Amino acid sequence: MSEIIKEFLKRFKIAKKSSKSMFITGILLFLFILFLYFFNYLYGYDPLEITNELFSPPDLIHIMGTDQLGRDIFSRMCYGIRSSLTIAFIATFISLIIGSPIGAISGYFSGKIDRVFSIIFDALCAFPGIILAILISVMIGPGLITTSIAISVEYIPQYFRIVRGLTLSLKERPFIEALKALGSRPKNIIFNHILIYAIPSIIALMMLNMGSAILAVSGLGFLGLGLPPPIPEWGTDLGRGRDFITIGVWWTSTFPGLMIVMSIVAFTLIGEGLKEILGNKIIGIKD
Amino acid sequence: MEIRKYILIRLLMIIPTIFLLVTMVFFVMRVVPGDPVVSLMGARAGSEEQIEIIRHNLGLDKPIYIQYLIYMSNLIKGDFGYSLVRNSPVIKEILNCFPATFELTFWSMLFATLIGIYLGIISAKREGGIVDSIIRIVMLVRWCIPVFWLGIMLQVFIVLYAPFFPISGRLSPRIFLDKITGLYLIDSILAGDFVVFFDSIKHLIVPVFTLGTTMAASLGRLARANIIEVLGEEYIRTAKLKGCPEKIIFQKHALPNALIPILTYAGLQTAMLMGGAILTETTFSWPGLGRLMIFAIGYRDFNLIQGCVVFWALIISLMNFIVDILYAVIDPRVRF
Repeated sequence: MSEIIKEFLKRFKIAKKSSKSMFITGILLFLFILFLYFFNYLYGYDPLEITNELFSPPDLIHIMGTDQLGRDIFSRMCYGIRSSLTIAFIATFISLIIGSPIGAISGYFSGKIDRVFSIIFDALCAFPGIILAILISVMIGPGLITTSIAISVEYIPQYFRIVRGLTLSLKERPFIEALKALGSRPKNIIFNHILIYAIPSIIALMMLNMGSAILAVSGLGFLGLGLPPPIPEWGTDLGRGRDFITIGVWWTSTFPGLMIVMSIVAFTLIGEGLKEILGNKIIGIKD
Repeated sequence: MEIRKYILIRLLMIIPTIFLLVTMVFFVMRVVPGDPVVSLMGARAGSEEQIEIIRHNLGLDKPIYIQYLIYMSNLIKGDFGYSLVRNSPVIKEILNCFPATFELTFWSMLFATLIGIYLGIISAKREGGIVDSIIRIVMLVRWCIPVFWLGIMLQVFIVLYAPFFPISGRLSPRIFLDKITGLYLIDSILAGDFVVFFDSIKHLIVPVFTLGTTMAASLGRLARANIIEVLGEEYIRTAKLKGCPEKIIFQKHALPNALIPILTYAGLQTAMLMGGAILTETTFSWPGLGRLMIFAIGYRDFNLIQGCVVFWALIISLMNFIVDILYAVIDPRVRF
């Protein structure tokens, strides 16, 4: 493991300036989002507290104004960080846990197993993610875990593909051949040797998927299929807030969107940066 | 001969895909909590007997597997059944909404492909330069902005600063048009009514811009990456070594190879949007398939949902098929 980190740092040093700056900007944005989350505790408004100050525009008292129930938008946005990021993380994690081992198994054994899995995941890919997510979230009802599951289905094929590709090239390497010759079991080879080398690529993909998962969460929320109402969530707030734009209330829909964009940009930058820094070669193995 | 066989197999493969999908959706929708009859009648209206009668008339009182067999045997005959809530044939509802989606998708994808590929080419040609960085940042940020938020922001802007401009729907309230094809631009030209023509263009601009720029950003990013990758290939170096002018290398050797995968991607995206650009349509109250689907899911209108899914799957499979065949025609390296 430490070898992989060392190698990563080495590659980071020689990476292109633009990739480095992408990665670092992403990290900084992410830290800013975390900062907002903790700053909210000092700010001191309750995101669920209903007051009679409806639609008060952004000012010094309410930084982002208040919504249709007089709730402080800034504190709702900050609490929304928790729900959106949690769902996105759980969703990507579920797809990682399912997709990567299947990818490794499929690539390692190849043959019929490989073909069956490839066909299944290709079919899954061909269907739009949002429709899958809508159908699944209608099926199992709203909630943190259920929304995560609904979103995760879309990303499973991606992990499958990337790990399968890696496994196909890894299994020809001498060290895997040596392990086989020494009588190591396939289970051991796959989980202790192949998947370890896939970790950096998986992390890069995970960061990219975090971005699009946040988009999916907010999309579901926008359609009214996300978390149940009182829970602060950017997409749901945006969907509700947009009803009031015709009376000139722009802040109920502007700020949730800004938060969504900011977090997606953060994760996309980290992911793209990582991808470019890592390059096409498998990290941890010298060619 | 080989290609014919391949085409036949591919066409036949569409059937099991759709069969599996319909089966899945059929059972999933019946397990889901919520009853179409109750949502049709409203929570308080209707006695138990009335509900039972409607349920019987709709055939919902039969065991699920019988319902499934009936539905499937009708589907094979091309009968999608009746919408439970709207009480009209599902196929009519779908064909009613499809032109709206088609119009939106067609113009958006046209816009996106032109702009996206153009930006991708410019960016790739000046790799590492300032223009490249700017285009890259703009495309990345645009890619991260959800369509619904951009749509809403444009609506806010219009409401505050340009209230004469429409923000939703396909036509202004007091303008009417006889439906011929359902594509308003074509219909209005056929009717010779230019007031309607310009009105529907006015309604198209904002949705097309919103959806088009999203697609343009993803196409542009892909185009840039592909062109840069192709420019690093050995045959490009060979061409340079033999003294081929840069312009010809770029136009004849690099571009065609780099753009083939992008056209594939664009084709598949078009297919996905043809089934209903759900978020864009919801944002702009665009009466297309996506909104029909959301409506159907909201009311648990089983037949309508299944109809939408089958229609969607059909479009995607056909488009997939066409793209595959085109791929073989355009790219001589592809052999079956």
